[in-house]
Amino acid sequence: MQLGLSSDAAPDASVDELVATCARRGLAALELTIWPGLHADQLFRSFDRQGDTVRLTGLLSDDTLHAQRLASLSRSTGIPIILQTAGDLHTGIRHTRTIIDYGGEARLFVRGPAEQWLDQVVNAGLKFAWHVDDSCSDPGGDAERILQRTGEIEYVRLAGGGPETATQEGRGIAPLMRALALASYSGPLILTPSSSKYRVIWSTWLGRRGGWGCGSKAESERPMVSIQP
Amino acid sequence: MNTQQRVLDVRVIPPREKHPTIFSTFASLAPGEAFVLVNDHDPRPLRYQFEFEHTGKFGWEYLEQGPAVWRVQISRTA
Repeated sequence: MQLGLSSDAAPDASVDELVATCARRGLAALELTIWPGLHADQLFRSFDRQGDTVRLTGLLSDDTLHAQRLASLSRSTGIPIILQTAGDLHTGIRHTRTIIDYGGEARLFVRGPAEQWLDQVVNAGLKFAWHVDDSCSDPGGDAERILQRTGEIEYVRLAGGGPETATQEGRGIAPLMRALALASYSGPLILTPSSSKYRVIWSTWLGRRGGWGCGSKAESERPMVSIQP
Repeated sequence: MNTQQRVLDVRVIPPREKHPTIFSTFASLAPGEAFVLVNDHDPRPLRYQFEFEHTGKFGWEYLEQGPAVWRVQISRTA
């Protein structure tokens, strides 16, 4: 299991800053919400350095209009596109398949209890990124159901965690982590804020803001990786 | 999926649920099996609890000791 960070935790941070933040926090994975016009060489610049301990695991996009461009980005980076669509599951399946048909690697973003999406996604032969949020009342049980149906889980996102961990009691995170551990899950577990209202505490947790002191602490924490321009 | 190594990362588990989850995971192991515990601090108090509750039945090996992450392989020996 590789604990990681979604760039949604710090939407205004550069890729370089996100990578350094992950390294400082001991997070091994990074998922980027990508923007139109992003080129692969921009990503390679940020990840091309010595002593790299952070791996880019997914490119999250809600762009359903430029499947060919997303497929090209996925091919050139070797990183899967995670497609989050606003429509129903059938629409998401169709758009994800289009990226794959163009030669890209793509996973469908799915959220909530497995019974709501598992059969359709598996029957469509698609890989998926499972987003665990408050709509999952039994994420540990869901993990076991997914494992029973597919034999493996490859990508998990967790809304909450990080600075929200202490407030997540009784949500079923512990049984989820136990189920993943016992299944020898080796994929990413991407942490993302459960709500934009927590952006300030995430920013503080990530060391991007000072506390209530003199404000010098965050600046004095030097990144553990050096970023080459 | 890597079937060789079980990793329990407790950094996302609420504080009061951490130790019960760790011991529950340990209880699921057969003798000779192990898991890697990942935490953001040295889990020394946990080791004392293991020594009290599972004397002579567990192995404890540090794989990484900070500064950001601690990894401990906890094995079931009996």
